[in-house]
Amino acid sequence: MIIIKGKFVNIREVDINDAKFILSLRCNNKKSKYLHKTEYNLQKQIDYIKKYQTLNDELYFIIESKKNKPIGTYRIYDLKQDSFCIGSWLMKDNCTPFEMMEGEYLCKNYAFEQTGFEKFHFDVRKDNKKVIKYHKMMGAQVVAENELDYLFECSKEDYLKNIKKYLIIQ
Amino acid sequence: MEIKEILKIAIDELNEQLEDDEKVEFSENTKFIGSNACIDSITFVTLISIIEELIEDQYNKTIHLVNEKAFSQKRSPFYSIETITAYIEDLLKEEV
Repeated sequence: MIIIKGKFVNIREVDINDAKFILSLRCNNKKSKYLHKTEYNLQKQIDYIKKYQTLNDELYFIIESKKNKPIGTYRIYDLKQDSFCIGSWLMKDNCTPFEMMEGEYLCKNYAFEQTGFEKFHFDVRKDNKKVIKYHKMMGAQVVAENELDYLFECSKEDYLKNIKKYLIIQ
Repeated sequence: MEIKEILKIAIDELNEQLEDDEKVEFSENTKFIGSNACIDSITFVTLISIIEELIEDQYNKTIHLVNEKAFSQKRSPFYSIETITAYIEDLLKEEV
């Protein structure tokens, strides 16, 4: 199992024991407002994780506090020619900004190292203004849009340049 | 422009990105970090970024609020409007 230790958080691959925690985030009305709806069904979530464990083109991370408590989720998927997609980024309400930023950084950095890609892509609901603002702040640019979403791309170089303003990266 | 005025403008700008039930009040009781924080972590980082941009515009100085000094202080400088104001004033003095 992949385990990466940071200053504020650790990240590790998801396990079937995380199903309940994942549902607690994904079925939270406020957090899931801009996500695909998830049914609160523990067995389905366990089956989803079991299926993930058979894949070799995805990474599903649990972000943990330094006390080994799960505080967030993050997924890397949809590997294209030179870019990976980020998503399923949800954090517990009481996590600190540093836990949030470092958790995301560790996941992305691992994906950059493993894939050798120099950029990533993702989409954000047009109404989700604060998340749009955050990603733009981290160097992402809108490259397309549809009725519901903005489609973003961000280079590794731009992301690292911006995250280093906020996070002390060794 | 006073730092507190900059914080007021930053919060107004931040509120443009937030939903009605998430709006931040410019008040001495507003807490930005800790268990009573009125904003989530992504909103906090966005606020910090807006403040940094405004400082750069107003003072022609680039400061990074999240730095080693912020980590080394016993009480977070990001706790309230008062503590953020004092922290920025200290950083600007150091820049002189």
